[in-house]
Amino acid sequence: MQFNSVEFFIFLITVLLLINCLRKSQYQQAILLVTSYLFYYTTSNFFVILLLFITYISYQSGEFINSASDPARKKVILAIALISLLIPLGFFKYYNFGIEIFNQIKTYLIFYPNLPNLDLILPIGISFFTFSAISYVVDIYRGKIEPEKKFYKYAVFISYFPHLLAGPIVRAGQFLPQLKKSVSIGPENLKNGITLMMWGFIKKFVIADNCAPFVNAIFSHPTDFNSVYIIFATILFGIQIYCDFSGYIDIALGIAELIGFHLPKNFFRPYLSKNPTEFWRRWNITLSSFIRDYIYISLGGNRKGTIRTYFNLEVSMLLCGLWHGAAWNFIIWGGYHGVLLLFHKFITKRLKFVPKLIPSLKENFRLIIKILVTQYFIFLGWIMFRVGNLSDMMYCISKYVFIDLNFSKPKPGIWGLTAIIETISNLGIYIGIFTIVAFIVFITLVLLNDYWMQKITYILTHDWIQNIASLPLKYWSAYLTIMIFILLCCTPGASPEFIYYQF
Amino acid sequence: MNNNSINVIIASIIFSIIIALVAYFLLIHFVVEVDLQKNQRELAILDFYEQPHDGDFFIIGSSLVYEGIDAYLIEDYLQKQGINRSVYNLGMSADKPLSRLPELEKLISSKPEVVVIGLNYDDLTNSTNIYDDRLALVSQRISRDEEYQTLLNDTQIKLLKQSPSENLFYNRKFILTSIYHFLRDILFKRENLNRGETFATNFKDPWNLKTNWTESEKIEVGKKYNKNATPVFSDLNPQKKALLYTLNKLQQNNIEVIIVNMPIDPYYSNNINESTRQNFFDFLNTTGVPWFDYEREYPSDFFADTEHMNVAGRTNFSPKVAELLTSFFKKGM
Repeated sequence: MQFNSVEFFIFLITVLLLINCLRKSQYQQAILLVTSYLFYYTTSNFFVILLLFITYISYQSGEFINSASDPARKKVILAIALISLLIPLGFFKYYNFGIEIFNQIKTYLIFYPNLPNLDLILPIGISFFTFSAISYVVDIYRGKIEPEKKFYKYAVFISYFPHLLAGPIVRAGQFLPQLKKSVSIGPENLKNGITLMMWGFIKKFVIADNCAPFVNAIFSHPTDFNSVYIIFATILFGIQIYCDFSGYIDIALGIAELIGFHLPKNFFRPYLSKNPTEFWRRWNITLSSFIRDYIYISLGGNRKGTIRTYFNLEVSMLLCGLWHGAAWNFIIWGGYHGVLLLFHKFITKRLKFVPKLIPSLKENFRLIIKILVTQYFIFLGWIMFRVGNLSDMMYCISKYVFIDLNFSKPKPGIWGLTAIIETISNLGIYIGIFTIVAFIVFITLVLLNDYWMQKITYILTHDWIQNIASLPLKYWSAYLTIMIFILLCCTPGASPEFIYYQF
Repeated sequence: MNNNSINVIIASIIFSIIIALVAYFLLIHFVVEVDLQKNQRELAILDFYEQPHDGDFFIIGSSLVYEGIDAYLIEDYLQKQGINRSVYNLGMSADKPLSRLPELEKLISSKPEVVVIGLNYDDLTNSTNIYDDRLALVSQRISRDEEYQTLLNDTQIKLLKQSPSENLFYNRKFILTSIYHFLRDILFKRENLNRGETFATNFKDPWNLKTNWTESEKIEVGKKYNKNATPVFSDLNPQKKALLYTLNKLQQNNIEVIIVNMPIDPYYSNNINESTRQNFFDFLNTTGVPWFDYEREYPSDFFADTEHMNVAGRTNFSPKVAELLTSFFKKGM
């Protein structure tokens, strides 16, 4: 059941009506539990049993850990719990990848038969609800939270349908307290929720889905194109993945808001980050904080010396890459980001006491340079994320880094593609010129005037969604009308699935 | 008070949805659909079919036809032979026998005397792709004859059977182009539009290509037509069935048919598999319709690329087609 389907809207309205009619918290939570399992069943059929398994194992593990008095025993239970929770994820997501590696290695060993690949379907959302379950068990182990007394409440937390399929990765400490009282659907959460949902729909179905054909056209045959197209496709992909994922999250947060729950934000203007560390505090925030709290810190964090800190950071980011998918390009992407983080840590430490290169240079200008340089490297990483084939990836990276302005036609004969590219390049030349001119004007204003910098910073960082949700009803209705109209006009034909469903 | 506020908000949401839908409908109906009628060749051809064309000659086929045939030259030639007939080039991009099926009934209703079908090996392969937009565009204008739909797949049938509301939603993909045309037509008079911009309603000389490829570009692309590409097999695939269906229907309605194997560049032609060629001609022999082979008639200089003729090409080829029509006309068909 996709968020933009008629079935989902009927489902959501039914849930809202039932929640509104049943005022007692137990009944509301029972409704949420049943509807969440129904939602998952319509999406993933019998994998609903897997969801139940993960829920039960993690709940019981939490109980056992809490009741164990001996720290060694707690550790053993934790280890068993983690293995049990990770086995399904490992099997469904990484079995074929592991077999592929094994089969490649075994060619160098004494005779071993090829292990067969299995035709496995990845249960949607497994990465997300498994991580939520892991965070519950580990937080109990660390004494951060008490185990939930009621199993059905815990089951609601794990299966809660807005965040079930593609995040955010919610912690028990953020969600379970909200189940202590009943929820009511009021005008404020209606407006907040719908405002957020509409913005999410626009990001996903208007922006991301319209970027997709151009991105796919170029990255499906990247060696046909020069640097202009590769860079163009990279920028578009960066926009696509941000709008796709954050659009989903906005819809999920909006739906949760409608029902009266608050889920954690997962993005905060990541493309305004000034350095790689800041990027990971703004991009997929719940995943990066999970990696930090449950992998990086567990490995020792920064408490065991510089070399070990770098090692822990790199391993954490490699696992982050692996989490995204069972393929080498994701591991390379994760490793690359690990290197960026290491490098940032290194130079921050070393350059702390080095005087600024051009002391008279305005802080505003420094800020813009930092953002641009950071995003240059972030977008370079997106090539690794998007292009699965390693030789194509190297080609795209070389075209991104070493600019090739050979504008000879793409291989003739690919008529549809040539038409798309010619349209893009014709349009792109004008957009490019406009962008360069606008950028120069912008930089000049910034250099000259702190006032403008403050204005621009305000525009870029202000929570406009909250502002819109607080508008008087007539203006809010106008917002809604415009958003719906844009959705009707600009949603492309067959909408691709949310990108993060595949993770 | 809370309930009243919720009710007001719900009412606002419903009101917003209604207003957005109305605005969308108005945009599609008064801008997009009007533009599609003027600027989409598929719809312009359906309009064309709705006018009577008793005794006229139609030439149908893909871009090889609309680039390769100048109907004015054919008319001139025919007139010199004392044959006063109007000739129309109704070629459409990526046209194949399957894609023409939904429009066949309308073609027949305009009662031409002769239909010349320009074919190429690509038209009789096992591919059953039809450009989605073409099916969606004509879906509201054609009759849903069940007979030919057995040759289409489920997606194609679904597009053809779009309800008016589905079609209304489908047409959103034309919004940007329609707005562009709308603004262009306000700013510029229609007679000042260039050839490409009036292509949709040009049924005489709708050619578009202006620049010729270099020899090395042709060689490069010619390689893709390797001996195993675009094969025509001996079995009766959907494209062949569609062609037979078309021929049968035309002949049942006393419309004479001639098939022409269109000229192609030697860099393409030299890479055609011999069994493809044999299967193609064997099939044409089974149709019972006169066919003529011009595949290797012209050198590379007569082609803009490996498939489409240039000025020299169509200037030479169009009179050949006129000769064919003359000889058939004079034989009393």
